[in-house]
Amino acid sequence: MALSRPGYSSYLTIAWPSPSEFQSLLHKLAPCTDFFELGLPARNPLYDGPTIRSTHREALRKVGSRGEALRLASRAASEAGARFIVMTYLWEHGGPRGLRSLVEDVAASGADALLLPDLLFEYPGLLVEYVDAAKNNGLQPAFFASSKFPHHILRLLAGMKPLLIYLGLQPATGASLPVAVKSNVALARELIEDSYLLAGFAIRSPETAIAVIEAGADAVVVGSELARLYKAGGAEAAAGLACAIKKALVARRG
Amino acid sequence: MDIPRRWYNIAADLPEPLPPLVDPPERDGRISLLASILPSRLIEDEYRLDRWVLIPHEVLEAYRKLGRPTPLARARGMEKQLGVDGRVRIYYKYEGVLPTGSHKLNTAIAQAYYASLDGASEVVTETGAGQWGLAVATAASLFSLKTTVFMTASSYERKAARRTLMAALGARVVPSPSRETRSGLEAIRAAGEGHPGSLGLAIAEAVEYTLADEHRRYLPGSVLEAVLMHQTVIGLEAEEQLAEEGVEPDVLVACVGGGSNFGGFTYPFLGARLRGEAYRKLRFVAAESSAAPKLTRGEYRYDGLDSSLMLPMAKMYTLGKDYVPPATHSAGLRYHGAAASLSLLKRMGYIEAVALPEDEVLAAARRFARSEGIIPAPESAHAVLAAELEARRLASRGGGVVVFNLSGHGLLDYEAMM
Ligand SMILES: Cc1ncc(COP(=O)(O)O)c(C=O)c1O
Repeated sequence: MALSRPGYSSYLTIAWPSPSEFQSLLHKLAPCTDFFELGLPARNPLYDGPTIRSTHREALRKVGSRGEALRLASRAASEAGARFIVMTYLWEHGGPRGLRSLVEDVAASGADALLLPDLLFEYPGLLVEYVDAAKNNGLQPAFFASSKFPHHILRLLAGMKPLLIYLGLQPATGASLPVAVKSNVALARELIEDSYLLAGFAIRSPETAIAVIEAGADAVVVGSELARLYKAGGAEAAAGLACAIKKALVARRG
Repeated sequence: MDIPRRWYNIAADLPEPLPPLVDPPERDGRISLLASILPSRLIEDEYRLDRWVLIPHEVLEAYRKLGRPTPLARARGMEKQLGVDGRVRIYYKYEGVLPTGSHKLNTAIAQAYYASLDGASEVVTETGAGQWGLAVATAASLFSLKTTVFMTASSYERKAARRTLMAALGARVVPSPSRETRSGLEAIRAAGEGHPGSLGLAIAEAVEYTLADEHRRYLPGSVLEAVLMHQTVIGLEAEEQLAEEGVEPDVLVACVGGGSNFGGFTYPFLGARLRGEAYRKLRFVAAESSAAPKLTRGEYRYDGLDSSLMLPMAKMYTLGKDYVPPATHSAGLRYHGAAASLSLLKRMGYIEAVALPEDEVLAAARRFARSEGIIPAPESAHAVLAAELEARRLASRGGGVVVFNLSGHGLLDYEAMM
């Protein structure tokens, strides 16, 4: 099923800050969220900044196994009537050996896609196997690319009819370095033609979201800022930002 | 021929995506901290999706004023001396004609300009042989910035000439390990006063010193992708100069410390090869020092760019961030790692590497001096020796064309020639 354009996605680490709070936070965000990106708690969230890393460390103490985390995600999403994709690092699941069972488990959870940020950087030779495994299990492929990425590979990914291509705007989640975000997004758009372009790693306000959409992204995802707001002001504060961004996107579409 | 208007970003054409810089597992927030360490525009250059990046007008002007384009010369004397004349043609791109005597100025100018855009008052860096420190001190003068240079202790003594010249340009030169930073104090405490220093440690000191004052910016001399990109003016010029000569090279050679002159010289050619446009049979040979043989003996993995993990980690060939290479005359090659893109291309077999011992390298430097009239920097002499080896190999197989990058002259490294 296609994702809405423009779209808004909320990133949450599964079981953070606790299984029950995760569930109610997801519920609270659901009305303003087109689809969730849910992260399996990881020991070494390689491309994440300090805020998301700390959510992983805390969540790891709250869930025992991958199965338990996926059941929690599945239950929370279906109760809220929400769509979601699962994000996890393949490294955490034993690398190439773990790919098949991971895809099967994620597919069984009801997710639309499995996003593996380290796939193309650490296991580029696994691309076809990942796409086949995803499709065989009823998932659409989803890809993560950085702002320093080979053009021919972006074109190749677009040709694989993915649900989305996620462009990391910053070198790590939550970072706000002076990166040429607009021109990078515009070029990525040109390279992947009409594939669905999800931009993240740098969005913390309706203004930054709109700027990225205007540069050519189809959707934005917010993670670090939601976690920060939740810690400071609870689900109410986090939902405030999600809904403000969603509203701004809808208003822009007119 | 004119100066190139654009730098080339090879990340756009790599056969596999470049593994990004990451925060160390036990040390969060290093990536975010880059905003307080590096000039903003350098960060922008580091994370560009574009294949070509326009060189700012101010930088182009400075390139012109300081002597770019640099010459590409035919090494007829060297061909004769090797006895390969008539079969093998050897050319070298000569960066030693720049005022500070090496390629380092190409990125120093851009970075000092970027620091001035941030309103910085001081630039900070590390240096081995002093080539990079001298380039930074020179570029800083052009943009009215103060300079502090942490110089590896072994070179502080050996390379007194460059130290003196940096001071003449107004720079403050501090031997590393120093007592001005925690990284320095810890190293002295652990190893005693006789510590020869290492580039990894000097970087840690420079970054720590930078972070102590918001008006300071740290300028990296190599390893970061943006630095390699700035150096592509070398290869872009060489490509045009070779075309003017009507020559198609068989092998390109350059030395490797962190990879900036190697990447700068070879990437425009390698990129055309990767895009399938040209140079299908061209070989690329990296000459490293056997004192720091990361490409031939290192591991390919994530490791710190500096010894204290002040900076993020890069996926690269590395000897370990704490590796202290033996003191050599080629201080600029005493670095534990090689740039991420270079490492990736080496792992994939696009780049070959050879580690060369200093005595043989210095002998090649003398031969080159006597046949071509140029005393090469000891670092650059690694490329001279590797080019000799390649020329002999080509001669035994019917001939060909070797082109190497002579990254700097050795007029201030006379102690190496004694
Ligand atoms: C003349 C010269 N060549 C080469 C190097 C090695 O550095 P890189 O590998 O970044 O070119 C240095 C470093 O100081 C140098 O001074």
